[in-house]
Amino acid sequence: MRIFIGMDDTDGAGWATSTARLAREFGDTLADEARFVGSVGHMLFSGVAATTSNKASCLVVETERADALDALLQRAAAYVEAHAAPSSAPGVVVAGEEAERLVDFGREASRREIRGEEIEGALGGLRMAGFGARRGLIGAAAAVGLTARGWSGRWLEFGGLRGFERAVQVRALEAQGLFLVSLETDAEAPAPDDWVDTHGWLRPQLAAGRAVLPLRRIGDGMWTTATVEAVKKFR
Amino acid sequence: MKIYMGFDDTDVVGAKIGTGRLVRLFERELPEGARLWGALRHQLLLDPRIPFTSHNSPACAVVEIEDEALLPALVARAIAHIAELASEGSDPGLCVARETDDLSEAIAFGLSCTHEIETQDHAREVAARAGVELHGLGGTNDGIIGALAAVGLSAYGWCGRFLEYGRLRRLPDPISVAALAEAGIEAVAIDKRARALDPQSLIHTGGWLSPRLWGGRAVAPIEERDDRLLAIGKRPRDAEVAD
Repeated sequence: MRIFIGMDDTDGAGWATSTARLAREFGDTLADEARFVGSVGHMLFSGVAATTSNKASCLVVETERADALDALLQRAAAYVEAHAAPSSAPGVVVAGEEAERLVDFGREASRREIRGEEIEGALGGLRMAGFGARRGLIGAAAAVGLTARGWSGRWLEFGGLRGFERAVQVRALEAQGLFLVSLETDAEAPAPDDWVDTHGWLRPQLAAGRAVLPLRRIGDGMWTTATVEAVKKFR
Repeated sequence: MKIYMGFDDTDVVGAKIGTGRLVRLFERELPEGARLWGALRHQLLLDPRIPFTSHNSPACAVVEIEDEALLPALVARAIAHIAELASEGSDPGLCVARETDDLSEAIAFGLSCTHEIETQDHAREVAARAGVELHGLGGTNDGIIGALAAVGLSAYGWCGRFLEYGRLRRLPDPISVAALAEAGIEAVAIDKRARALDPQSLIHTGGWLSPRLWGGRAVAPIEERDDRLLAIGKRPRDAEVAD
């Protein structure tokens, strides 16, 4: 069973750990509970006054345990409560198949500010935990819906992608489960022995529910990741 | 059920109808009960040792049928279509496979053809093991290599671009994200934010909308430039040569 764990609003001014990092680090603690597939960062509507860069995170995990949803909510809530900034308003949402219910909510949260009174209607009956003003529930739920939809966001962690060097061969990336796609006119399949310059920032997109790396050809047997200016946007 | 129909080596230098166009024209030959889901162009290895016409790019018609009994008629019509429109002196090949066939070897063969030189013998072996039809239809029959590769790459689902897909050639410019979705095309932002696009946002195509095959779906990669959302298209030479 695939389970989505959305998190948002866990940081604050001067707080060292971003939500993206907190989510990643939480994922690393789950080895005994579930297989940590990765975490996806989503950019939500940028006009929300309460936050500077409205980014939320969603962990993707897989497990066969029947009680996993409740157990994961408990663990995620405890982890967030222990590691979030005191001034934050964190939210955690955990969902399995019911994540599909949040797809439209996620798309709405990407294009406009969600009002507080809309939360209950959208999240009713879902597993969630909020702290402080619980503002993070909006982003957490949106991140779950968008990840379940599978066509936006970037994988901030996926099969150890942070361990790769700047120049990496296509076969090594494919072995990690990434799908490499050419943006060139011919839309050709990169060859296994080709090299990819990741510019030290390897963050595949979530597309078709998979980790996808769009590439531009820069020479014979050489490619570059299409998005090279994003360095340090996601921590 | 989807049927993959790969075509290759149907033209010669200077031919009016290239393989891509021949495959697009096949839509009008489809029997009742069959529908063209899409026509895809694939890129194989460019190497002087391979005798390709212009770009070594086979094409694949992906046809939806409700009744598998239509399959023999589809194959017969494809063979007749090639006989009618393929260039004199070409080496046409046709491959036909069901989506339910075990195409794992055909996929590996297709991917191999993008960076290695493959042979007719290997193509025949792979096709026989997969239980898919492979027809050499003239000349050296070299087209069977690209025909099988086109089927394999289409089944792989992560390369190639659409020459035809529903109303693709009649879509307006600009077009909203929602209208693209209605046409079955997913607009995907590839900028650093990789955000979910607003359904009402307008995508500028420049008249060159050229969806890619990602995850078995028609996808329009979108980039933002000068506050406008632009669909990544294709270079004009392909309109002349491959389409």
